[in-house]
Amino acid sequence: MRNLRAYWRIWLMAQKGRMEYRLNFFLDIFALFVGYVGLVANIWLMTNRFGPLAGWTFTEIAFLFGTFTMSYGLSAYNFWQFTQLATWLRTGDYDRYLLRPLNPVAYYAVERCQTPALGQVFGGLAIMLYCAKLLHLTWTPEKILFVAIMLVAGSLIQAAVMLLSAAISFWTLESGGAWGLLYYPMREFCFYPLGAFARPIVWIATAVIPFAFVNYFPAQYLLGKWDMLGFPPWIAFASLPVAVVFFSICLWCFGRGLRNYHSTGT
Amino acid sequence: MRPTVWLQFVKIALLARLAYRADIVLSVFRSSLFLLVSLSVWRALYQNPGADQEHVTYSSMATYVAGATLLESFLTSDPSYFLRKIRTGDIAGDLLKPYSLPFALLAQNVGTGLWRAATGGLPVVLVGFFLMSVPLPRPADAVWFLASAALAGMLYFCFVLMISLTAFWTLEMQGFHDLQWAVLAFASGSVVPLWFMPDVLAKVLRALPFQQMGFVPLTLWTGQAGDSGPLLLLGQVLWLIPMVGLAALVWRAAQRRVVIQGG
Repeated sequence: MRNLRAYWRIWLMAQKGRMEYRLNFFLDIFALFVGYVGLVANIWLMTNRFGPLAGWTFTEIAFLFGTFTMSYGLSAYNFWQFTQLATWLRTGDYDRYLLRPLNPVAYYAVERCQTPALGQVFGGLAIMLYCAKLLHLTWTPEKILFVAIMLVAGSLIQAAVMLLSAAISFWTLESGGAWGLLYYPMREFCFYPLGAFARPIVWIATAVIPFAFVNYFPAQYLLGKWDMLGFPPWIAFASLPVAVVFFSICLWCFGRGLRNYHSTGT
Repeated sequence: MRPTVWLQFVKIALLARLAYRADIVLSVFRSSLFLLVSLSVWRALYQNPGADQEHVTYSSMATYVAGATLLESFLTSDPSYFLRKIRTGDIAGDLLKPYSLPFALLAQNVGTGLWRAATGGLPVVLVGFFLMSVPLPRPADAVWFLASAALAGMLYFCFVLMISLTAFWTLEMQGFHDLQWAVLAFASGSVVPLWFMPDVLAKVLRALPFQQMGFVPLTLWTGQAGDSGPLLLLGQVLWLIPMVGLAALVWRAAQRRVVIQGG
């Protein structure tokens, strides 16, 4: 319990520090928002000219994109800095987080929180709600609960990938490898309906790095589309257990990496 | 600045990248994943009924996408340079040195860009050719592309320089940098070419400088430009003149604005 209060205060201070640069704070959020609008605009241009993508209309894809962006924002808020861990290790700055009587994952997650990611949470929410309206989706209490679970699961899965890339940098310290950046091409698979990709990719996104559970499978229930690509329909409800298992595995990897770590001493 | 000094800067930037050679495999893998996503999406789009009537075939589009990866690897720059230097106060030292800072930065960008094109962009084009059956451009088109990409690099440098110089006024700029990236990704036509845009939008974007840093060189790369290569290059040069002038003006104004925040 005492630790919880410590985390709370650390978070408040971090948050206050970020707000010091107020203009920059809003500019960051605005810029992130424009960036994501640009991505959606490109998808609109494609479907406007060529028609649906793998059987998905633009509004449906934008719905996928909105749900993805929201859970990305939630995970990035506390975990984005893990994709940059290689740099922190090289400069020795991460050592600070190992010297406190707190959990080095939780402490780093809370103290370096990424406030601009809130822009993605709200931007994604706006896109999702607007598309839901266009698609005549009726909101029932079950669906709202389902969305909440989907967001928790989605952000856990993405946070886990960020942790995994951070874990790899413990071993590749010498060679420097920017493993954290691998997150970006991988998440691109979430921007489009999974059916657009070849079978091996579909399998990887389902069974290895379960990005398909972030938005594609849960969205099947919300949209009533049931475009399951050969997987059983119940998989649409499997996001949370998948996320918990995957997150635990990645957290374990991070712990292993941490034990393997010797400071560079710089 | 004397050309030999300038070339020394290019060389130093190239050598500095050697320290990151372990990242080559990783960054090629990363870019190949991006390429795979784009190719999959375009392939799926081309499977729609009626898509075969497009005057640009899927294989041309695949070449376009691979070319965009190559171009992007070359168009690099570090916009946070001024921000870092202003924060630490090192900018004062830079301004004292007996060379023009923008030219030194340009040399650095050329060096980094060449390195990244050789170790990142070109390997991905080959990965595309051997593993994803992306056709290579004809040699003549590739030469036109190189000339156009060099001009695009100059334009891009002026553009980024102006954006990053705003740090002299705002003392902050991450947001501007993200914004610049977003605008370019859309308006340069490097993701969705101007051919596929609605007429009105394509007309507007043709009148703006951004397509000179994406669509124009890539049109040459795919051989879709026909024999209008010289005309396209001329268009780029015509944009370059006012951009260089404007960048020089902003640079002069920025120097007068220097506020040293301390070290």
